Amino acid sequence: MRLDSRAGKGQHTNITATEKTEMYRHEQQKEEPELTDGLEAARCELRRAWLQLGYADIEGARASCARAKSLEPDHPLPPSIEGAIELAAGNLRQALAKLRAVTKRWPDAPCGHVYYTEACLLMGRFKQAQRALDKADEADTQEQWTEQRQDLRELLENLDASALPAPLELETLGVNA
Amino acid sequence: MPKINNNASANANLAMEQQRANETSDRKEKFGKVFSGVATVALKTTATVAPLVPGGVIVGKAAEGVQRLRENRPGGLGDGPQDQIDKMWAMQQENQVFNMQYMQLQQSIQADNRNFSTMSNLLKVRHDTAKSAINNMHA
Repeated sequence: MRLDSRAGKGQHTNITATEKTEMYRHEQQKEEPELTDGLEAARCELRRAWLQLGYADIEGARASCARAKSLEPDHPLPPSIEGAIELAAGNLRQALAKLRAVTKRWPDAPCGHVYYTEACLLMGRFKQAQRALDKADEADTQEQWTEQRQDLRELLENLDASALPAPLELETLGVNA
Repeated sequence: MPKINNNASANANLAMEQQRANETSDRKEKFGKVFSGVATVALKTTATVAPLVPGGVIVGKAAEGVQRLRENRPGGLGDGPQDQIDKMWAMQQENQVFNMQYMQLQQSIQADNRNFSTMSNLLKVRHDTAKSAINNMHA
């Protein structure tokens, strides 16, 4: 005999094990709604990927990003984040190729241009970075990337290119990140 | 953000300072030797010529005395204090060089600090922007 919270005050009901399980599932769903929406699921995967990147779990981040891409194949953010992960891993050539593809496919998406600017900057391609940043400025109509664009602009304007060492590439060092 | 780097000009300044110190030290050494030679010759001449001059016997004795004193002292006349002055001079020069090096080190550390905080801010902005972009992801 249990007191059912859904039942009237003081009313005692008999609840079977199946009912209990069902109730538990219902409560769980209320707390964590099932990710039926592809966009929501992709967002969750990207969050996971970013978190994994923070813990230097590059492989995990790549896998999460790949899942996000498969969930939302027409969204520019998952491949952009994938490029950012490659940048963080030090695979500059791969990152550059991926991000260039993003900017070609989604020319109006600021995220691709911003990360492409970063990749060019790290590769020592300053003029290309400048052009990419100009495109990012044009594309970022919602001003979601303002701060990062401003930082990149400041960096590009004050950069003494002659004082910088050659870009460090893990591929050339024989390291597989 | 400040421009990265003026280490080359600082190094050039340091090298010039050291060269100048060396040149000055060489010049002082040469001057000391020449002066010592002149003093020796003057004392000998005075000792030789003094008896010929009326009343010059005392001067001659004095010159001989000074010459003897110079010969008996290690390093000759005036070399002891000169050595000390040279050493002090060299120490002062070294001190200046150390000060320059210390200043250079301080500048370098400050530049490193500035670069570190700039990079730290950049990374934070980068992380936060990406996070908010993911959170605001919509079709």
